[in-house]
Amino acid sequence: MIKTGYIPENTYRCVVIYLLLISCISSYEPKLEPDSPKLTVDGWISDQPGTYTITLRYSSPYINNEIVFTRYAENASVTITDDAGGETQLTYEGTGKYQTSPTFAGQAGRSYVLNIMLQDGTFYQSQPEMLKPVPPIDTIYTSYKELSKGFLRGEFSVFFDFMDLAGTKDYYQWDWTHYKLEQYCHITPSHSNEYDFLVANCCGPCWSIDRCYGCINIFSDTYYEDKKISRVPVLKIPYDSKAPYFVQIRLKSLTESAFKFWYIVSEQINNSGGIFDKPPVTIKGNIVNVNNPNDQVLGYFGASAIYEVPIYIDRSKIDKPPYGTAYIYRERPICIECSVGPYRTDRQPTGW
Amino acid sequence: MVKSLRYYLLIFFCLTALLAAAQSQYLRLSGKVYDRESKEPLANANIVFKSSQTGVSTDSTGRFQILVLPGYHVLTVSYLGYKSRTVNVTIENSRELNIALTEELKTLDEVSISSRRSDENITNTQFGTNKLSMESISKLPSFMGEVDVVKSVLLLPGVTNVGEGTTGLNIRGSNTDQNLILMDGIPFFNSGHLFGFFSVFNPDVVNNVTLHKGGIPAKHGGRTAAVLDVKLKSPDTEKWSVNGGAGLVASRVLVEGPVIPEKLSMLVAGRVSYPNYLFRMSSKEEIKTTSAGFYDITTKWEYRVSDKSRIEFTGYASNDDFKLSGDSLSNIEINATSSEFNWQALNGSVAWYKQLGKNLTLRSSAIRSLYKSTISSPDSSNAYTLGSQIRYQSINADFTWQAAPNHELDFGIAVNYYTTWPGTLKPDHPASSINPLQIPRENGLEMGIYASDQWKVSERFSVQLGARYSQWQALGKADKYEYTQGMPRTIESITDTVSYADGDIIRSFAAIEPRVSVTLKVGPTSSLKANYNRMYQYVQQVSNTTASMPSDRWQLCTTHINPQSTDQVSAGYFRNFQNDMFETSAEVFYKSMNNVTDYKDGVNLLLNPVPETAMLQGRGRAYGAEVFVNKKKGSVTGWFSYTYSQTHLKVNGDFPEEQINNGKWYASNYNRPNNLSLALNYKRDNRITYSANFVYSTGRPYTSPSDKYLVNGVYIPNYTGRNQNKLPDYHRLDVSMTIDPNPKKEHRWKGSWTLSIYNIYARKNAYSIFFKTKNDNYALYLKKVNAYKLSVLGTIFPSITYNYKF
Repeated sequence: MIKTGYIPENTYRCVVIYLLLISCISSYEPKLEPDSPKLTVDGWISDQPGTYTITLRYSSPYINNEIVFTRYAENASVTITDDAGGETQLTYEGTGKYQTSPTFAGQAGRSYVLNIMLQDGTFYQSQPEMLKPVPPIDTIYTSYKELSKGFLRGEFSVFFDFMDLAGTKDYYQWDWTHYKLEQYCHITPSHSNEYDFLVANCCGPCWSIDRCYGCINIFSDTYYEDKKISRVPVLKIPYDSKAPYFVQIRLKSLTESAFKFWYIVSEQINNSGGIFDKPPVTIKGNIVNVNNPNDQVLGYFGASAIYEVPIYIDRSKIDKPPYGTAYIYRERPICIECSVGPYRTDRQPTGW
Repeated sequence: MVKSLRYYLLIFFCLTALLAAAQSQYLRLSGKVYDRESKEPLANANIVFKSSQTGVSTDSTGRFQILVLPGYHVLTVSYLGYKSRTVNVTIENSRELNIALTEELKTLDEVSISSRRSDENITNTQFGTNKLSMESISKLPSFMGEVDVVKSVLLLPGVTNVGEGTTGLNIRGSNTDQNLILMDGIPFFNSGHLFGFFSVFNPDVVNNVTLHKGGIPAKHGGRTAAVLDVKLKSPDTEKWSVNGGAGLVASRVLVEGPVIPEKLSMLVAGRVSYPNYLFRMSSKEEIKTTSAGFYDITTKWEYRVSDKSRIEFTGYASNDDFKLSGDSLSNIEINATSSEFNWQALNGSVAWYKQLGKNLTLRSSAIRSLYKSTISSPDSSNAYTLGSQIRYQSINADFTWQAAPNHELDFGIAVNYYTTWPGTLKPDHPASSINPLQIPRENGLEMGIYASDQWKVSERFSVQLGARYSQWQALGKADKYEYTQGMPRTIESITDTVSYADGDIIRSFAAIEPRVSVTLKVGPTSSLKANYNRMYQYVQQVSNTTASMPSDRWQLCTTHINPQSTDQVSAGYFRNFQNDMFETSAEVFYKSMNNVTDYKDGVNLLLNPVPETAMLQGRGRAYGAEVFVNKKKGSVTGWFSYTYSQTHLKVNGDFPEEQINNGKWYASNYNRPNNLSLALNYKRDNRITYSANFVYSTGRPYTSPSDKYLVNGVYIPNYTGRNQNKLPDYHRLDVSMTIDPNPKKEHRWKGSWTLSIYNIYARKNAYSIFFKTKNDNYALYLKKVNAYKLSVLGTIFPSITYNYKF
């Protein structure tokens, strides 16, 4: 069997670090030729029931004088079909968002195709995307390291282990979401001193959400086939309190083509300008204009199985107390509603 | 033509008559004239007998012979740029006489780029060639005080690179792996230490460096662009000496002398670097914990078997280590707490020189060159080592035959055997979960047979006619794949596997490579030259990064991977002024390249068992004009060079995946049209020398995005065309001063100080422009452009070196 794969370590990046030893980076204003806006498909489905959103936007010139991504493909007809003849119609919710019903769930082993018919009749279709199974996460563990500098005494690195699925070429992606129950829904610094704040309580339960925005954590089993994959680094947790830290860790399956897409994206967005970086290339997604293959369509429609572990990370075992700052919170006699959105939620997270 | 033939016949008869007469009463005096310091033979030196005022000149190997009457003679031996010597000899039998001459440089004028004759550039058929003596290289201002053979070549016309801290040279629009880099005939697969900041050649042992960019002699083959021929000096045959130097990041020492007087002499030189203390001074944790270093050892032995035969051994070993330790890499992307890069070279050659007949000499050698690179990580569960290797073994014989006074023939044969181990992944710890993987080794046999005649047709017109026949056989054991016709070549389109047993011929190629040059002397100090050559290359370095990495693997020609070839035509006008004080030239060239390699978008080359699915072969073209002015004598010496050139590639496969920029011509990564350099040296007196060099060049092309889009919370720049934008221009000024506190020769210990300042006006030259979108979401959402400029040596670098000799 012929294998092509990806060494787990990014050799090129190491060299870049070497060059950074003596280099310096400054901001630069290049001359760039803007190109016409292109349709971008952003969305994925999984084997868990839920509302899935596919967003259809247009790309924006790299140098832009307005707020970007305000052009959407509106009122298109969007469906997801599977290889068993199933079809789901997505409903348009405005600002380019198309949603499935809350009960929609994919099924491992099945492949899915996204169909998009724009208002002007242009027809786009994704390549069939197989929803591959995902193995469970075996163990999650941490290691603590004291920091010599900065505002923190130390930090915890969180790792997990899992068994690679036997007999198949597998690709994985992982991410994390941290929830924290917030007492205050509004904080304003008072003008008297920098440790002094005016705060307002939340009217109901309200959690803040944190994740690694723009992070791409992917893995190929090429050199680890059928083995235990250990010490997968997930996130770093600050030692700023002895209270448990709540985080949801998700392991997702990827297809080979999704892995390749994210691999190149990851290479390009982490580009640090070193001569040993690969020169950037045009990234091909999995959507095509059925009638005009020369029409560049950006983005990716993905399908993954998910294994999710909600966990409280114990931070109480460290002898030395965490560093803290004595803030003064002065409560105002009002309550503020939880502002639900990407950074806050009023719904209790799974596993809380 | 008829006239010159008649003239030639006349000389022939005269010579025959003379020889016949000589049999009875004359004795034969033969010998050699050589440079006292470098031991290099001096060609065209004159030996004149005072009594008869008759004389003889030495040939290209520095040898002479003459028939003389027995008795007492006074000879004057002279050579331009050297002190003349008067020698008294009594000749009773035929005998050998070796004469050493001392260069006049110390007392008179400086010669920066030394030619064997001061007007050699006008008269010989070679051009597209620059020769640098170690003396002129060591006078150039240097980075961190390290005299660098490879970097000095960058100041010559037609030579560029992709940026500071990169290995390799781009010569007349070529890729870095298209240069044959030789040290005493041994090919080197990597010319840089520590990612190109230092060259692999120890400056103490180098005698001279010759760069052939065009008109490449038929003797050299196997690469399509250029030959960088580094010649080591001969070990001192008269006395033992030690010299060396200590600098800020590296030190060197050289010991040489006679082991058996008159018979065996040797030199051994070593260098070691210690940059780590500089890293420790950094405030950044990831830099503090980095360590790097190299060492190398060069040795040369010369054994004089007899007056007519000599054996030389050259050996070279080097090691580079670069380690990123601690937590520097354990961010989210990298699953390891430290990584180590290592690369090594182990090279050797044994050469045998033999005077076979009066006019026939042989140089035969056996060569081995091994280059090895390893990447490793010690973490128990993910521990691995990833290694790749290339080995070159060769036997060859080169003959030089002075067939007639105006015909000098070179001919010979070389048989080279290449073996590569493209990649071996090993778990390096019992607990490691990595599966071992080995990309099978590849073998190839290269043969070259050549002949060339340097024919002086008339006083004004000479021709070099030559050709090389090259042959390549890719040899088993191997499994090779067949791909579906009418589909892009991918793993999925494999239809069949063909297995070859050990030694089976997988694929073979053969080619004739003509090498022709003509020289027409148009005036007493000027000439016109033109040349055509074709070159074939059967091995290449596979790399899709902007600059090649020391760890990039070498790939042999085999099924689906074709040999590269280049046709080059060039022409030039050469003129000297003021008694050869100024040497000037203007050259133009045009190159057409076949099967140049570029890569499919987004492919992975590391451990790729089917590189043919990732590589694309296309066409290339390069053209340019070079102007060179060299002042060789006087208290101010130096040179000026300016090059205008363009290099474009075109990859137009049958399928969109196998095209680059939609099959249109695009600028190569190293296309830098304007290139100017100025190197000046002012010798104030015997104690102090000032040097400066200035370089200017157009920035290299880079790829920039046209638009951006958002997927899954990640901002992604959209790049539509390769190399469509251009970096800001590059320029830099370096200066240095060498102080010899005690120029008189009274002391045995001689020391000198060199102060160098690199990039004196601290220009932040752009190494690259890049677009990093990670962790920059806010900026991207708004109108701000997140483009950055990386400058590698973006500041002033002063250094000091102490050199000694005793």
